[in-house]
Amino acid sequence: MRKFAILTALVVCVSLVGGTFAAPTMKYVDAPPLSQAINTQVGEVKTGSTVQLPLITWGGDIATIYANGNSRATVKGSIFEKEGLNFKLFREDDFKKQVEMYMRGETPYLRGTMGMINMAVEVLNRDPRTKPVVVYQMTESNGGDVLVVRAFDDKGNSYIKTAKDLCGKTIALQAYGPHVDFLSKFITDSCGSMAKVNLKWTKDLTGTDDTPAAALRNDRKVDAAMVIIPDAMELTSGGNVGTGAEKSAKGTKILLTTKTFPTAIADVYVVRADYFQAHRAEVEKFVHGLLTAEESLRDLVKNKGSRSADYKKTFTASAEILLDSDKAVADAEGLYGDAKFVGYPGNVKFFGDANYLRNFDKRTAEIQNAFAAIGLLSKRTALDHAKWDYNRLKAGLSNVAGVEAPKFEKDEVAKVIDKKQKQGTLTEGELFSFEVYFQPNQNSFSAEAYAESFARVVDLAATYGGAVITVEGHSDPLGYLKGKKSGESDVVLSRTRQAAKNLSMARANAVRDSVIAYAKRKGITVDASQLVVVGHGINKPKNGMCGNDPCAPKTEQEWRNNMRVEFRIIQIEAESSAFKPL
Amino acid sequence: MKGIILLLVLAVTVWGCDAPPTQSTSGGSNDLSGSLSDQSQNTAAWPSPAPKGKEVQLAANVLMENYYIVFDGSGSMDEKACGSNQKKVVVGKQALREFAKTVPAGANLGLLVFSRDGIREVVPLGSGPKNREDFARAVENIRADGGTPLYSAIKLAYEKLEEQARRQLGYGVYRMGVVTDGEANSGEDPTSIVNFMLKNSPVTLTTIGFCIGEKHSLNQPGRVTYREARDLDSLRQGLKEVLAESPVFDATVFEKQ
Repeated sequence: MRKFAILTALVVCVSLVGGTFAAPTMKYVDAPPLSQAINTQVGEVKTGSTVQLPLITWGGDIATIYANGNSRATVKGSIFEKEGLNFKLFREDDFKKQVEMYMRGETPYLRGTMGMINMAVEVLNRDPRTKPVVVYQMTESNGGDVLVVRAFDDKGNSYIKTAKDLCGKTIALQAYGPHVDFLSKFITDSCGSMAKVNLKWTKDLTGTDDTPAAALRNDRKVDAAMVIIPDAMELTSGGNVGTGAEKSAKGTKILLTTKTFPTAIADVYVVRADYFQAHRAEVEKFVHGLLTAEESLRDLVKNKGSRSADYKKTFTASAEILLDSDKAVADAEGLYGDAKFVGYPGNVKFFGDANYLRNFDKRTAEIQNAFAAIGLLSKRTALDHAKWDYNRLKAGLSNVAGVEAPKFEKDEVAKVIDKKQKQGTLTEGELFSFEVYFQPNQNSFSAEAYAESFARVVDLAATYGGAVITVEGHSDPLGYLKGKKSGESDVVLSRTRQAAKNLSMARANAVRDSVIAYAKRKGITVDASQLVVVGHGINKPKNGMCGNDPCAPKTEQEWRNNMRVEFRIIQIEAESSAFKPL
Repeated sequence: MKGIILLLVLAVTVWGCDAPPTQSTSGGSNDLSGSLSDQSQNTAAWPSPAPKGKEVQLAANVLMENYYIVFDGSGSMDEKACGSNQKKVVVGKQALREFAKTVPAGANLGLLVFSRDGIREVVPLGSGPKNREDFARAVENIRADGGTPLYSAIKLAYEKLEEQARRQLGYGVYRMGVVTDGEANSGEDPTSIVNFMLKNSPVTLTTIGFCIGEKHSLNQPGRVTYREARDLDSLRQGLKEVLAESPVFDATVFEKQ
């Protein structure tokens, strides 16, 4: 949940007071590159005993407030004070304004998502003093950011069901907002390029009539919108299918959230290159303070029952600083719940693990390519990070092991997928799917022969870490059909059918094992619990079923098309029992 | 018996339309309707979901082979086999002992006996040396005396296999072998459960029978593998059929069907 829950409430009131209301005409904005939109003169960083430190309205920033002693000004005895730091916190959700302050030298720090930082990288690189150096990854979004689509058209026909249905469609999102990189990765995976969709930019993210949610509600030409979770719940009538009543949009449904795509939005801190050079030790203490605060805050939340006074103090201060009201504690808790702190292991992995498919360099390249495709950047521009000595930074921290537990309950997720298979609903919640083919009687699947497909599976597994990837084997039905035609007994046909099912399962298993081995050879860790095998036997031939039997393939190509293993990336957020608790 | 019938009726109520048929009351009808040729087998939704409170843990290997034997320990099995000088129960027990030795070591084996003591699963599906020892001991202890509740016994055996199938998500091999002389009690005609099982599940049935005619549901040519068990060799052969491997291969050349 990003930003302005209170403003949303105000808009609801205004709408109700207004009585019968006509859908407002949407006003969209242009989103030229920030290098064109910002012409601020670069100034020296104002030095003094207090450094201005920006915040944005996000759960991750609660740890920064906590580190500062639950106050805008650094409190004696706080984590930052113990590090020898002295900050004045200020919130600035208008990213353009924040960039301008940074350039003028009012603060050496910039606070945003990787997408926002990359949007500004061209303008910041104009002057070597303001070149951005990313020093810390704070969080990943954990379910609070959502892509809502028109799942059904006005007549109730299926309209956007999976990712590929978005190609050629119109999507509303906030200009320079936190969702640009989220959307760009998803669209690139679905359609090949961001240029394959039409974008409508809105001024605000939430809480006004100039938001992506309002666009989906009021503009029939808009097919999808990037929104925050409260808006998504409103649009889809509580996370189902929008009825059109109240503030919902008829026929809309949630297609993807950052729970399924948990590496969509990385929130980071950046420091000016000139300040970093001159104050490297101070910046290192700042990062160490944030790492310490993140651990300490996690412990406080875990033990909020026994530490209720401390807990209340932190969340009341956060509500006041981030949401302008010390009464908005529940909203502050909601913000915290939507953020997943990556901590020390996450920072080591993000900045230092070359084999991590969602690391800093890979995400920077991916974001900049996508932004170039839609004109937000004119070219690829280098983005630096601090290259910390993480052995030094681990001092005093307890969570430094970085051991990742499986995300899914193996048995539960297998049962969920089995149920979906039996109900014929495996395609519900499908984001992507693709197939690999094999030859008759082929039972091994070497990584060499399927390298391209396996690389795609590994990449999608890393990217959509909250989604299940089914590996679905199919068998050739020709042997069964031949047997039936030649009058084989029912006993033989029954055994053949079951043997085909087992064979398809064995093939799916072999492919899964091969994918995991491929990733291992590449030095990439795949969460095996995310890959679930299914054997369809001869029940899902490409050319369809004729009654309870597969239709006979009419051509050799049709016959060969049946011999396949399908990969399907499925969102299963509704099946909470399948997820391991965080 | 009453208890078992009550449980079965309850299970039927819970399972609804996917449930096996209720107990036959036709008193030995030989109705063999519902042949697979008329109406193709549909096993895609098998096994049915576990009844509430009876959820199972998944097996480590979902491709396990399962062999479940139903042994008729009724009074009529204490008589001499047709065309043989040996008692049916003696021939049957001897063959089962040898059969157990030929079941693949990693496969699951189970045994259900009906006799004077009622219908009892004496060895649950399992594998490993202890399972095989239990099987041998249970066979040794079989005494032929009592009625022939064929319907109830086959239904219970089917339920045990289906429960195992839930552990294996329907993958694997499911074979039932019934050693019997086929003379069912009144109301225990197994036709409906046999036909239901063959139509809705991949469980295959091998009957090792003592002079059971082709009008019996346990001897349906093409649908049930029937082996005459008048002597030990014949019975051994019948039990080998339970273990028969399934054809596992793809067509290698395209032929238009």
